[in-house]
This record gives sequence, structure tokens and C-alpha cells, in this order.
Amino acid sequence: MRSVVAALAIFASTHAAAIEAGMPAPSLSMAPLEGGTPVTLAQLKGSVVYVDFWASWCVPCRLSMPALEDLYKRNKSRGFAVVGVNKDASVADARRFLAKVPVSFALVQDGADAAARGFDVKAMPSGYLVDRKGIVRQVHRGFTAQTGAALEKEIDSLLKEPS
Amino acid sequence: MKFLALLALAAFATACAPVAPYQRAFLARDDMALDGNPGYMRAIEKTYSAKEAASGGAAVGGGGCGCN
Amino acid sequence: MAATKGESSALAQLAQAALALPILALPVKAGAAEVGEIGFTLLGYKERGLMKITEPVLWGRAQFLESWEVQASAAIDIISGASPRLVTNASGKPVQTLTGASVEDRRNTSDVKLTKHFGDFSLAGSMAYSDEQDYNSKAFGIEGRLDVNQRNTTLIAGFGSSKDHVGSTDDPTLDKPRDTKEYLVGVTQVLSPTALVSSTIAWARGEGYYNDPYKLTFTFFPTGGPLLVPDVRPDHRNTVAWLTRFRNHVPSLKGTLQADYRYYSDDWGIRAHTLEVIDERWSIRPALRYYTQGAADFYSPTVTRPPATVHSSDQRLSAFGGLSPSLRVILRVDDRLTVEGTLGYVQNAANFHLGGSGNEAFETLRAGYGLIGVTYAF
Repeated sequence: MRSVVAALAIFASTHAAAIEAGMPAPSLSMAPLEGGTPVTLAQLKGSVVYVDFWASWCVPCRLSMPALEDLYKRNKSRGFAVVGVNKDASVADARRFLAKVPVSFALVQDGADAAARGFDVKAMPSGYLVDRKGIVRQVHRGFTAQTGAALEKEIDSLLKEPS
Repeated sequence: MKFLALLALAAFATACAPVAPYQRAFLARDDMALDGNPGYMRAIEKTYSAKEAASGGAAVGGGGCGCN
Repeated sequence: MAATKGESSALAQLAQAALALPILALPVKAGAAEVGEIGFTLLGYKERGLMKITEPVLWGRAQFLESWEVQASAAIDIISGASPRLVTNASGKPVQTLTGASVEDRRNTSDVKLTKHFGDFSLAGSMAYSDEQDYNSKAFGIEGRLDVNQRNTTLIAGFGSSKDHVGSTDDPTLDKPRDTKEYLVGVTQVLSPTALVSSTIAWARGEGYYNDPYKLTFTFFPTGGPLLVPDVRPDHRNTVAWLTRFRNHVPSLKGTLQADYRYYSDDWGIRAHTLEVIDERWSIRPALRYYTQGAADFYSPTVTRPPATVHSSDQRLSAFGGLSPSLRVILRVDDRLTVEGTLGYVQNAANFHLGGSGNEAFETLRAGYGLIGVTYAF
């Protein structure tokens, strides 16, 4: 009986907040990967933000992380930011990956799965492109060469929009 | 035998709560794999099966051997 | 991402390999996500007083074009030494004896498997080839996998077909075929973020030549002369093998428990159980394997007068049990290179049989093996 209730509860929770294009990004406070004051998406309003859920055990992330680093470096002066939400079991695993694939954008941890549940992440990696007003405009599940190309165009068009 | 069948059923039954795609960190470990390193598997497989009557269960399409 | 490590073992392993790919300059070239690994393994196996085998294995696997995977291996078995050929009760009790000079043989094996991913579904085709002086085998297989239930459950179905030819170094005119068809279904289920279970059942239907051309039985009777009878087995064999594998990781102990159990049954009357338990802490894996089997209906270390139409005294068809402890050490040298070593001991004996009463004519087998392996990820 308890397992049925638990299953229903999980079903309800996982289906309550599915974030898709057109919905506002959830307001979340996330701790940086290497410690420090928490980061909130509200602080980044006015910028175009790509919230990317990644992990060292996620194979397409070997493609997505360098691609995002490249997009970040080329567009940050125009008001583009990336928040990489790490889903590794330990920070040490994340560090091992970052030693091979260094990135300069913000990295946060999500040990209690609050951010992953808030966005109702359905695949790894998952990326949510948020416009200057805080509305999710694109959701990318998985990452291929096509994703990178499409993302570049989407970021470009969102950066042209006013805050 | 019956115990194992029940264990299998219980295992499947308790898995009503799916593990989310972002909770796969431990499942992706090497030691959680069903099959090991292909070289190790290939080298070890005949060590036991050449001396026993039982074989198979894991995969299809592997050739036999004239193990004498 | 596949449901479990089993089917994405190539992918997950690659996640830990060094990234030598250039930083992507958009638009991305095809092939930027090509990753793989190659490895070499060397096995040395030695039985007390009997056979010695050296086996080098070369293997590789790679992902390419975003949804394809290929895996291939090639191995050579270099076999020397003796194998029991004659069971005789000249001394009063049936015993295994060696006759003739020791043998030298070389077995070449190779296989390749190609997989295409279509989202939650994947299809694989494989071919395998084995060739030695007195035997060759060609096999192919296809396998489909489907991830369902948010990729917590994977359904597997497969079919395989193998065509063998049996010969004999004692009789160059012997060339007999044997065909086997195998069917497999299975389920892999994620139980929790740290545990999963997989259960597969494989049925095989074989027809053809199953006799062992080298095995003989020499039986003396209280009255009359002795009989020398060759190995004659049924011309078909139907088998079922049910394999269940359990994996559980305990983060607080930094260890993983692996337990595999296989139930085997065939229409020769053999029932067998295999249980292997492996404990991994850090990079050291002690393992213990227990095996027990019942005898085939037509097995006997002696023949009757007149002899039965189907008969074998090959002790691999008798009732016995086996215990094998092993220790495996895996060292990650750097991001790309992994080195491993394994030491194992095997003892098969009549008194290891579950329930005690193994066949008295079973000669205890004692063997040791050592294995070293190198894997390079790119």
C-alpha cells in the first residue's frame, strides 16, 4: 500500500511542474559547485540564460560542454549566460570531468535534486533557454551536432530582444 | 528456485517508482555493468564452460568450440 | 541514454575517458563525437597434470556517426597438454586415463557486433567465427533492445544461429555438421539509483553430431571379455539457460556487490546451477563462483553388456560441483589507460556436488589461471 502511495506521489510530483517553452523559469536558489553564495535565476534577469543539466557520466555532455563554452565565450559580452547544473554523485567526479573539459561559465550543484525536479528534467543532458524576461523559450533534450547549430541561432535571436 | 522467482518478482514489483534520468550517476559506474571488459569476458568464458555441461544465458550468436 | 549500464556500458565507459576531441567550432563536423577503446588481454591457464592454455585477446569498440556502435574481438587459444580420453575399470573402479601423446592445438576465434540506435530502440547484428584443427563454427545473431518506463526498464529479444563442423585429428575422414538455433528474451530493471537487476532466458535447439570423437569407455566384466565403446550421444540437444544478474552499489562503503545466478536444464537430463558473487571495493574485486551439475541420462563410467545405443563416460556430463575463487585488481593509470590483473583457481570435484553425491569416477580437476589486461580509451 505504501509503495502505491509513494508511486502516486512521485507520479504527481514528476508531472506537476513539467517546464516547456512558454512557461516562466522556476525560481530556484542553487549552490555553486565549489561553494560560495547561492545563485538564483532571478539575479540573471535581463540576460539570456541557458540552464544546462550535465554530469560526468552523461556521454553527450562531452559534446555539449565544449559547445556551450564556445557559445558562452562568443556571446557573453552581449548578455548571454550559462548555468551548468551538475548531477554527479560527488563533486570529485565533476572535477575529474572539468579537468579534461574546462569551462568558464557558472557551475552549480543540485544534490537534493531541487533544480532537476523544478524543471522536471526528462533526459540528460537537458538545456533550457531562458529569455531576458525569465521565460523559457526552448528546451533541448539530449545533445547532437544539430542541437549546437540550432542553439546558436536561437541564442542570437533572443539576444536581439529587449530586456 | 521458487525463492529466486519470488525475489525476481519482488524486485520488479518494488520498482514502481522510476529512477529519474538525472539520478543515474551510480548506475553509470563500470562496476554496475552487466557485462565486463570484452577482453576479460572473451578470455574467461571458456575457462569454465569447457569443463562444464552448462552454457549460455547471456547472449546469442556466439560460436561454439571443440573443447576437448 | 539507455536505461542501465548493461547496454550502455560502452557509452558510460567512454564518459570517463580523456577528451582529446578538439573544441567544437560550430557548425560541427560529422565524426566529432567518435569515441572508443581498444584493449589487449592475455590469459594463462594451467591444469594440474593436464592441459595448458595461453590465450591472447585483442578487442576494440567505438561509437561513430552519433547512433552507431561497433565492437570486435579476435583471440587465439594455444592449447597443449593432455586431456583424459579413456575411462577404464581395469583396476576394479572406473578411472580417467590418458592415452597417447599430448596434443597441440590452436583455435582462432573472432567476432564482430554492429549496433544502431533509434532513440529508445536499438538493433544489433553479430557474427562469430571459430576455427581449430578438428572443429569450426560460424555463428550469427541479431538482438533488439527497447527502453521503456522512463528508461528504467529495458526489454531484450534475440535470435542466433550457429553452424558447426566436427572432425577428429585421429580420423581425417570425420566431418560432421551440427546446427544450433538460439532464442533469447530478457528484462533489465532499474530498482533504485544504486541497484538494478537483469534476467534473461535463452533456449537453444541443436541438431547434429554431438559425439566426442576422442572419448572411449573400456569396461571389464566379471565374466567374458571387456568392451571398448566409443562416445555416442543423442543427435539433438535442447537447452534452457536462465540467467539473473543483480548489481547493488553502496556509496557509503564505496563498494558494489555483483551476484549472478544461472539455472540450466537440457533434454540430456542435465540440471546445473551457477552462482557467482563479486564484491568490489576501490579497485579490488574478490569473487567466488560455485557450480553444480547433475549427470546426463546416458552418462556412465562403465558400459553394460550389451552396451546402450547412447552412452558417454565424459566426466563433463557427470554429477559434480566446482568452486572457483578469484581476485581481480583494476588500476586506472591515467585518463586513458587502465591496467588490470586477475588470479583465479578452479577446483571441480565430485564431493562439491550440491547434495554431496557426485559421480565416483569423477577425477578432481585443479587449475589455476592468471590474466593481465590493458585498455586504452580514445
